[in-house]
Amino acid sequence: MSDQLPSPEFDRSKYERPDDAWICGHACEGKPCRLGPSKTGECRVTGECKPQLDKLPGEEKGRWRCTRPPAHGGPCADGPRPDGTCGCPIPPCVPRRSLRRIRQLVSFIVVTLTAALLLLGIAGTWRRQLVNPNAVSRPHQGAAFLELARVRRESDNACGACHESPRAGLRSWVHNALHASPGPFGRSQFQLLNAGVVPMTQLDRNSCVACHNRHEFHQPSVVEASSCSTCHVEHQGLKMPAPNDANCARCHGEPTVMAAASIKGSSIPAEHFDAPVTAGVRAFRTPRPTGGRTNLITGFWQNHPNFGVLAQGLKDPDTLRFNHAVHLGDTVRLNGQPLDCARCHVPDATGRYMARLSYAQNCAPCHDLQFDPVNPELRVPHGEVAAVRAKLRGLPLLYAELKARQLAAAGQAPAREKTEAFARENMARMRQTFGSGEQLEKLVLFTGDPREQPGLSAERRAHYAGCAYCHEVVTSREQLAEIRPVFIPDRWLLNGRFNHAKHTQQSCETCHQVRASRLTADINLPSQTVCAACHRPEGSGGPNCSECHTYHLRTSN
Amino acid sequence: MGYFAKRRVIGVLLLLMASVAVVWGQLQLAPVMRQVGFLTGWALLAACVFLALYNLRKRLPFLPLGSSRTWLQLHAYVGYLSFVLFLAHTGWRWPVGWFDDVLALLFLSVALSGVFGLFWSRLIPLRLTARGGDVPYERIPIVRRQLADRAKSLALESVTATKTTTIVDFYSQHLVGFLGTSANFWRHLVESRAVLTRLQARIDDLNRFLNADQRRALAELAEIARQKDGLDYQHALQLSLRLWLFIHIPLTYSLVIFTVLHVVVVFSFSAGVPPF
Amino acid sequence: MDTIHLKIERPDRWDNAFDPQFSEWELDRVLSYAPFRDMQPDNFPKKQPLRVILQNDTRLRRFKRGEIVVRAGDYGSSAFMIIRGQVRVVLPPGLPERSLGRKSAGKKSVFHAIAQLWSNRHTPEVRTPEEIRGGDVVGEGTEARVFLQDVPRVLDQNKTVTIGAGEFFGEIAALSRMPRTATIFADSDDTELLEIRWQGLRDLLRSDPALRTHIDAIYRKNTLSNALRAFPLFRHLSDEQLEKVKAQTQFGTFGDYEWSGDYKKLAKAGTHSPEKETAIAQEGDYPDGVYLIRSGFARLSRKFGTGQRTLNYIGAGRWFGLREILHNARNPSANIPYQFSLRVIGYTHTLFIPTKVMEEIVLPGAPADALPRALTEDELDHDDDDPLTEEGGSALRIGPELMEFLTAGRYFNGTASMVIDLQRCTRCDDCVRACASTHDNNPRFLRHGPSSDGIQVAQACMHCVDPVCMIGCPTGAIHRDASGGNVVINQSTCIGCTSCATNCPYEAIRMVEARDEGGAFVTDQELKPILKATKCDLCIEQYGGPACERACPHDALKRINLNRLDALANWLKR
Repeated sequence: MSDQLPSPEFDRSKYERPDDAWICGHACEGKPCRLGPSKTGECRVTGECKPQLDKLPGEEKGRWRCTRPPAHGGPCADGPRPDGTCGCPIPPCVPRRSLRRIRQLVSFIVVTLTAALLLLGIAGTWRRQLVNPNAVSRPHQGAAFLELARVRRESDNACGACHESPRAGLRSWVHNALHASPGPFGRSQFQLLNAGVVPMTQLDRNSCVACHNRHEFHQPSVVEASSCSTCHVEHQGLKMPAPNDANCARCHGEPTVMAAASIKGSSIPAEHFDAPVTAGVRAFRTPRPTGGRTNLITGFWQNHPNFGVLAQGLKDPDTLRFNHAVHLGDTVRLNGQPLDCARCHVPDATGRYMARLSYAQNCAPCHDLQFDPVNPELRVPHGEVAAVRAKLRGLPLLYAELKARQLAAAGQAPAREKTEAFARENMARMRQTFGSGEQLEKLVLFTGDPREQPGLSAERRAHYAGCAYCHEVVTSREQLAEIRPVFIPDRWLLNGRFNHAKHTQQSCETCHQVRASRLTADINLPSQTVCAACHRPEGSGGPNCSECHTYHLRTSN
Repeated sequence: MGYFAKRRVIGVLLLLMASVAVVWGQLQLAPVMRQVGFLTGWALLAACVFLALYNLRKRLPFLPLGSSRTWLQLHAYVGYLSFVLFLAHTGWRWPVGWFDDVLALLFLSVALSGVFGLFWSRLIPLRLTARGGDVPYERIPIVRRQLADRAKSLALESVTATKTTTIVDFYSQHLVGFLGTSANFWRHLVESRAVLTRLQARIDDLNRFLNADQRRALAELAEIARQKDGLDYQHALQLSLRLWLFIHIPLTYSLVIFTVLHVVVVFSFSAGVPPF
Repeated sequence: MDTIHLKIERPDRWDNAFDPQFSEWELDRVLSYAPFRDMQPDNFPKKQPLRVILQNDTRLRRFKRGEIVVRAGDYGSSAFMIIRGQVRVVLPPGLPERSLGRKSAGKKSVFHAIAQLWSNRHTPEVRTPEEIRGGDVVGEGTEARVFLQDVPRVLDQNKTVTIGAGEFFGEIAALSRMPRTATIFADSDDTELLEIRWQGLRDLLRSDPALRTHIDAIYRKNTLSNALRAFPLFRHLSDEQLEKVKAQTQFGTFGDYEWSGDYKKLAKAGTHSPEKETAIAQEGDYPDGVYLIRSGFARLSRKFGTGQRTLNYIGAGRWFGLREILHNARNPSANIPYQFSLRVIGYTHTLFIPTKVMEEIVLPGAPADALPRALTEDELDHDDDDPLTEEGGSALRIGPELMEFLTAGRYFNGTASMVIDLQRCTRCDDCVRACASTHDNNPRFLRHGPSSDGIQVAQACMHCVDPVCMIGCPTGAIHRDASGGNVVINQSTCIGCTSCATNCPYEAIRMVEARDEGGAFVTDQELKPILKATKCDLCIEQYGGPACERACPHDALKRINLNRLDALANWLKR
C-alpha cells in the first residue's frame, strides 16, 4: 500500500562522524576500514588484524592467530600467513576529504583568490580604477590636475590632486582610514542627526578650499561651514549634479542651526550682512531684521517669509510725486491712448530688470515744462534749479530769440525792432499776469497745484503746474529754492534676484497691484504669497532656492 | 494558532516594521543628510556581522549562546532586513564602479543563495520523508555496496540454479552500472522517475521469458533496483541540501573581505587626514 | 594492523571492589549478622559465592547523628542494612532542598567549556590511561558528607519514622532503578550501615529467597504508607484508616525484570502484539479493585475490530479501574465492568486495593479534586471511532498510528527521547556535530532510527524511567547521576562487557574501541580491543542542556519526555 521505501537499520554499527576531515578511501566503495585515516589524511591500514603468536610451553615456532574482533567478523577463515602477516591484507586507500572539508577547502580557495585579486588590484596599475566609483566632473579633470597632484602629493595620477591616499598602497589607506576626520570611530559621522550640519572635512580643507580659496561661505552668521561635499557631490560622472533645495533646507529647515546662527549674527555689525551692489546701481537697502534672516524655511511655497521690504511695512522714500492710479486711469491719454505699464517700464538690455526711468524718456512727453501759456514753445529746463532760475531771468532775451526763430521759419529777416517789440509786448503781458519776475520764478518752482497757476487751460494745468507738481521743492538756508533729490531704486530685493524676462507671459499687474496705488510711498512689489500662488507644486513648481539666491559669493545685483 | 504560525506572523510583522522604518528613515534622512550612507552602511555591516556570527555560534555548541533555531530565525529575518538595508545603502540604485559592482554582486549572491537555501531546506525534507528510505548521507555508499553485493550474488546464483544466463546477462547489461554508483542527480532533483520506470519496463518485458524461479530472482533484483533508486534519491537530495552552502559560505568570506576594504576605502578617500 | 597496540590487562567485574580495604575480619563480622548468617553458602553459584559477593559489593560505613544517608530524589544504586544504631526516615512532604545540601552536577568550568574549541581530539574515541583502567568507585558516600542542621527542629517540623538494627532500606530504589522516595539520616552517633551495591543485592536475592520475603515484609511495614500517601486519593485518610488500607493492599509484579531481551526477540520476530502481553486487568471483567502503578509501564487498550487498540500507556503514579469503581458506587443499580484492558509492557510493579476497601474507606470523604472524571456516555458506548480516555486528548492528537509505534517500540520509557521531525530535518547533522564537539569530537548517538508518520526516534539514549541497560552492568559503571537522574556511564569503571549495549532495546548504547592519543587501538594482552560503552549523557557536563537540541536550526529535533504524551502532542502540533 505504501510507496515509502524502508529505511535500512544500522543497529550495532559505529557512530557516524560527519565532522571528520578525512574519510577512508574504501568508504566510497562501501567498505570503510576499521582504523580509518589519520588526522592528516594518511591511510594507516595494512590488514584486518595484527596476528598474535601463540606459543605453547616448549614450543619453538608457535602459531599465528587471527585477532580480528567479533564485531568485525571474528577470526578469518584462512588465518594469518606463515610469516605472521595478516591473511586479509587491505589494499592501502587514498583517503578522501569529507564533504565538509571540501567546503572548507573551497572557502579557503575563494578567500585566497579574493585576497589575491584585491591585493593585485591595489598594488598594480588598476588601483585607481579599483577605488574610483565613477569619473570626476569635467572641471576636475585634465593636465592641470595631474600637475596639481604631482606638486601637492607627489602623485602620478590625478586622484592625488584631492585625495591623500593614492600615493601609497593598502597600508596607507588603512592608516588614512583610521586617522580620517571624520573617522570610522568618531561620532561626528552621525553628527547630522543632531545639528543638521555636515562639518567641513579635512579633505575640504586640504583640497577643495585650497583651490576655491576666494569663495565666501555664505552669511557671516553661519556657525559652522558645511562640507563642500554636502552640496557638491563628486565622482558622479562628467557633470557634477547641481546642489538642490534640500542642501539649503539642511540648515534653513533646522531650528537648532537657525537658532545658533541668530545668536551668532546678533553680535556681528549689521553692515557685514549687506549684500554687495554693483557700482552705479541704485539699491534700496532693507534694514536687517532683528535676529537676522533665520526663519525656518523648508520650501519656498511652504514657509518662505515675505520679502523683507514688505514684511517690515517699509515706504518708498522717494520725493517724486507719482500716482500710478491716475496714470493708468481713464483721464490720462497720450496721443489719444491710455497709458500702460510698458509705456514707462521697459526691460533693460539683459531683460532681467527694468530699465532706469528718466524724465526725458518717460515724463516729458506729457509733462512739458511750459511756463507761458501763450508761448508754449518756451520751457524751463529739467534739472538744476539754478538753470531754471537763469532761464527765467533771461526771459526778454528768450522772447526775442523766439521771435527771431519764428521769423526765420517764415523766411523773413529777424529784424531787431520786431524781436524787441515782441519781447516788450510779452514781458508786459507776463508782468500783468504774474506780477514781478521773482513772482514768476516762485510760481514756476513752488507751484504744485495747477489751480494756483493763472491763465492755464485745464488740460495744460494737468500736465504741468510747476516743479513742485512732481518734486519736493524746499527753501534752502540761503533762502533759495531747492528740489529734494529724487531716488528711484534700480533694485528693491538685494538678497534675491528676480528675472522679469522669465515672467513675460504674465501681465505686469498680475504681480504689481498698481491701479490702486495713489502714493509714491507705496511699494508696489508683489508679496511672497503672490509668487507662491504660482510657484508651488500644483502650480508651475517651486523655484529652486538657487534661482533667486546664491550660497557662496553673493553676486552683485 | 500553532507555534510556527505565531512565530512566522510575529517575525514577518517585525520584519515589515523594521523594513518600513529603514525605508522611511532613509527617505526622510536622505535629502537632509548625505551621510545617511554612513548610517545605513554601519547598520548593514552590523547586520552582516550578526549574520556571520551564526557560523561562530555553530562552532560553539558547548556554550549557552541561545538555540540554533532562534539563531536561524534571526539569521533569516535579519538577512531579509539586510537586503532592505542594502537597498537603502545603495540609494535604491545599482552602485557605480567595478569594486562596488562586485561587492553588490557578492552581497546579492550570498543573500539569494541564503533565501534559496531556506526555501530548499523547507522543501526537501518533505520530499525525502514522503519517499522514505532514510539513510544518513555518509552511510549511502555502504548501503549501496550492500545492495550491489546482494544483486551480484542473486545474479550469480541464478546461473547455477537455472543453468541459464538470462538474468545474469540482464544484470550485467542494465544493473551493474546502475548499482555501482550514485546516479541521476538532476533527475531526482526534479522528481523524475523515468530511469526506474524504464528499468521496470525492461524487467516486466524480461519477465515474459522466465520461469517461476527466475521470476522470483528477477523480482528480488527489481526490488533491489527500487531501493537503489531510493538511495540515489536520498543521495541527490541530501547532497543538494549540502551543496547550496558551497555558494553561501565561501562567498560570505569573500564578501567580508570586500566589505572591510570598502570601509577602508570609504574612510580613506572621503574624509582626508588632518596634518600632523 | 601495525602501530596500534597498547598492551594492558583486561579489566574484570570485581577489579574495583566497593571497598578495597574491606578486611576479612570485617567480612566475618558482617556474615555473623542476620540475614547473612542464615544464608546457605551452597545456594550460591560457584562463580559468585556469598563471601565474594559481600566482599566486593558491600562496604561498612559509619554515620554521626544528623548525617544524611540518602536524599529523597537521588538515584541510588545501593541498599543499606543497619548494623548498629538507628536511622530516621523523613516522611512526606520531606525536607527542603537546601537543607539536603544538594549540589548541581559537575559542570565544566567556563574555561574548560570554551577550551573544547581547541582541545577536542581529532582522533576518535581516545581514552586516557586512567579512563581505560580507572579507580573510581561508584556508590553513595564518595561525595562530601552532609549533616542536617538543628536535628531537634527537623524532628519537630517533620514526621519521621525510626528504623533500627537489622533492617534494610533503599532496596526498592536500588532494584527498581527509581529515585529515592525519602530522605534518611542517622539518628544516633556511631550508626553503622552495610551498604550493598544493587548488583550484589540482586545476586543475593537471586540465590536466597529468604531475603526477598524479609524485604517484602519490611516494605509493607515501612514504605507502603509513603507509597500510598504519594497518591492524592489517600491523603485524606487518617493513620488508622491507612493502616486498614495497607493491610488489604496486595503487591503485584508483572513482566520480566530483564524485559529488554525478551522484547527485542519478539520485535525481531515480528510477533509482538498487545494480545501477547500479560494482562493485569481485562476489559469486561468485574472491577474488583484499583491498580496503582508503582513503577514501570502498562498499556491501556480497548477492543478494536478483532484486536486491541492502544489508547494510552500509564506509568508510575497513575491508577487503573478507579473510574469504574466510582461509577458503580454512584450507580449501584447499573454496575459496569472494566472499560479498558491493562497489560504490562516490560516490568511493572503495582499495588492492588480491593473494591470493598475503596468503597468503604477510601471513597467516602475523598476530596473531589482527587477523584477522576466520571465515565462519559461516549466512553461507555464502546464506539470504536471514538476512543476517548481521560488522557485520550493527547493520544488522540498524536494519532493511532504514531501511538501504536510509540507503544510497540516502548518509547514511553524515555524521559529525554531524541525525537526528530523528518519533515523539517534537513539531515544537516548539526546535531551530531554539536554532540561530537561536546564529547571530545565523538558523537554519542546515531541520527537514525525507527520512524513513523514522519517522526523518527533517533538512536540516542532516552534516559529511561526504567533503565534496563543498568541491569547487567557488573561494575556499576552505568548509573544514574545523583542530581538529575540522567543515566551516565563512568568510563573508568566500564569494562566493555557490552551488557548494557545488549540490554538497551533502543540501540542507544554503542561499544567503541578505545584508542590512545596517536590513534592506535588499545588492546589487551590477547590483542582484543578494549571496548567502552558510550551513549548520550544529555550533556551533563555542559552548559545549556543537550547540545543536539540546541544545535538544530530547523526545530526538527527535540528531547522529549515520552512518559506523558502531552509534551509530544504539543510538539507535534506546534
